[in-house]
Amino acid sequence: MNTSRIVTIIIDNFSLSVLQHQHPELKRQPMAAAVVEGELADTAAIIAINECAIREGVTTGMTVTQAKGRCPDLVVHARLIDIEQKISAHFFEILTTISPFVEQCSDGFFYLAADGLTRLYKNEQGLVERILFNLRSAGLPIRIGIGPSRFVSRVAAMRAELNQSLMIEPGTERRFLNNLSLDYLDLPDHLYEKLNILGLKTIGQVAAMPISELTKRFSADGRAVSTLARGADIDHFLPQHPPEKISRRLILDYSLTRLESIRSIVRKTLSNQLDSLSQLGLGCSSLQLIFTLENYQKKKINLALKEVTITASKFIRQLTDKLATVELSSPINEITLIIPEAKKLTSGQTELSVFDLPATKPGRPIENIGAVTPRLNNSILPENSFTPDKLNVAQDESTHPFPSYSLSDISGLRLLKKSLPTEVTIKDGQLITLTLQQRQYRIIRHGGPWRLSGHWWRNAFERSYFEIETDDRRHLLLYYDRTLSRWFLQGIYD
Amino acid sequence: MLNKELQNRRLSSSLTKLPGRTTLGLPTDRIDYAIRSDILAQLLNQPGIPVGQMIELTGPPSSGKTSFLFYLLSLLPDRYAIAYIDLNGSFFPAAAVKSGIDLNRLWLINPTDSSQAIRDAEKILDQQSSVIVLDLVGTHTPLPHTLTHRLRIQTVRQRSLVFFLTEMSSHNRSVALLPTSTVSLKLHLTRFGVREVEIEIAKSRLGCEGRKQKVRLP
Repeated sequence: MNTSRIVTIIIDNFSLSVLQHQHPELKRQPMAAAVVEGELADTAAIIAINECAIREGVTTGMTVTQAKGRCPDLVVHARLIDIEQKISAHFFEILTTISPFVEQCSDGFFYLAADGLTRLYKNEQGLVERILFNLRSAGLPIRIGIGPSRFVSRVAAMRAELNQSLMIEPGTERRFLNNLSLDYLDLPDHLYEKLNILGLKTIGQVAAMPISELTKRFSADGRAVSTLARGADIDHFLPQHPPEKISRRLILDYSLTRLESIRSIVRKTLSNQLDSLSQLGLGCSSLQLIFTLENYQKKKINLALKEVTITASKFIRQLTDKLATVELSSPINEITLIIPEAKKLTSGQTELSVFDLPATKPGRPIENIGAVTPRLNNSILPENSFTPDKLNVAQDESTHPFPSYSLSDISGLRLLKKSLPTEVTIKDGQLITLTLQQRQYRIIRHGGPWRLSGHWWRNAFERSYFEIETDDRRHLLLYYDRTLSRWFLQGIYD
Repeated sequence: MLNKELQNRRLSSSLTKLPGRTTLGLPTDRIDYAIRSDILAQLLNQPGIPVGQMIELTGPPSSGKTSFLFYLLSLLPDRYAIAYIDLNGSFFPAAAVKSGIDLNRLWLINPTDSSQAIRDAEKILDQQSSVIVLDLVGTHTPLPHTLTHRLRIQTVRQRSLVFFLTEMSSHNRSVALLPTSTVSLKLHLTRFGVREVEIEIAKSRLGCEGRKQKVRLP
């Protein structure tokens, strides 16, 4: 049995409620909200109507002309999208003070997790009363439902009385859903018709059908319908965490007077904050800086951008302009940086953030770990072909992209720290076996020899290099040292 | 026979994914891939390896793991520095250059032991988002678990990549150098020719676990 508890809060007839809230004088008249782009046209679609309009025969989906044909006194208003969004955001904020897990499904439609709140609100009735009390001030009609899943709680909210709640106890959700019509399932038209043809008119009848049968007939849709009819969810509850106000206070070791210093400190601090925000897919569009001066005066500077950003540069530019016009009565002792609201980045900006990461500077020394940049030089011996430090780079490096010894393929070659003495048997000029650490390997293929010699004036060497493949598929680099008359294993191709 | 059938089903199920989505269900256009390549796309059903991953490349000697690693490193965008932490001193820069790696963006570090290696990696990640290679070939001491998990957290935070290069014996026996939960992708390589390598996804949090693919290294 599902033990989680979800609360659904629906603002009844949201678009129209917002309109009536803005124009209370029109409450008793037939009224409709229409979707409008620009000016209200006769062809605009009606999306919400009040009781008076319903009584006059107006339905949603009609055009303004059609609706006025049925009800000449109908008052049609354009939907107030901006205000709807503001009210939704306000409701969301209020709800986050009640539970930390709130999901805004759409404007005026919220889910809230009721688990673990019993210590705060004693019981679910207490929680509902708290929600109603906190949201009452907005003056909008709401319905509240509580159930073990999102779907059940949503249906409960839809069936609840205005400004009341309906609770579905755990284990009773099937009984609650049994006699309800299929309309609550929000089915696609074709599926609704097919289920009707099959004689399935209620949610209980759908739930009684074997899930395999519905899946077989209607594939994923059938499975989803069956799951919902049994009171379970097909989507997850995805609470949004309210963005926190970010504040950073810097107490300076020494007082600042120069614009350059102020700018550089703000840039560094802000960049760090924005970097950590961008890791979470967030940015900000406004910033408040509070400078505390030596004489205890405080100077506030507000910076605002049109778009959400993850880089400090635009803020710094604005700060420079503002500081140029501000007169500070004494040096700055303390800087407080406040990001009032972290905002979500768009998908384009998320991609962009990748390129705005702090630029990597491979040339920058990494302290205390002995990191070096290896450089190739002109030595023909593999073990001497590179130097660990760029101070020893050969001047004509560009003409020698890699050492001039002629191994057939050096990609993936690993050099042993010290060449390992080995035994190789040769028959008719062919390499036959290799003995390495008291184990014998058959050589199935070999390339070479490549003869290298040099340094006759000091540490002379004369080597014949071979690339071999053994019977256990090892590819090795061997050489025969002609001065010592011995074989050595120098590397492994990996 | 049954095993083969099961494997086929597993492969086919991993192929039935939504267009433009990874097997984890994430839209690919929202993922930041550190490395993108055709070979990885064939292997993982997504354009490449996302940032914040720890990847283990393993295989017997001469299996092609170093070549494959160099190939992956050569595909890294310029914004990444590469820190090659070489525990047994077998890194050969000329081979890296031959594979297309720019030595100007590579740091070579020779730590004294594996704990030191991980601490060095942490220090580098503290300073900059980099790609770290921990070359553990020839090492037989398991890495300290706590340090390795800490490194994993830092890798995710810094949106970096860490490659572990480990070696199995010729009989496919390997020493468990890494805690099993650390790496998000473990690729087992076997060489079939001079350039032909078979890559098996031994472990994957990116999907397609168990898939084998023969690839030709450039």
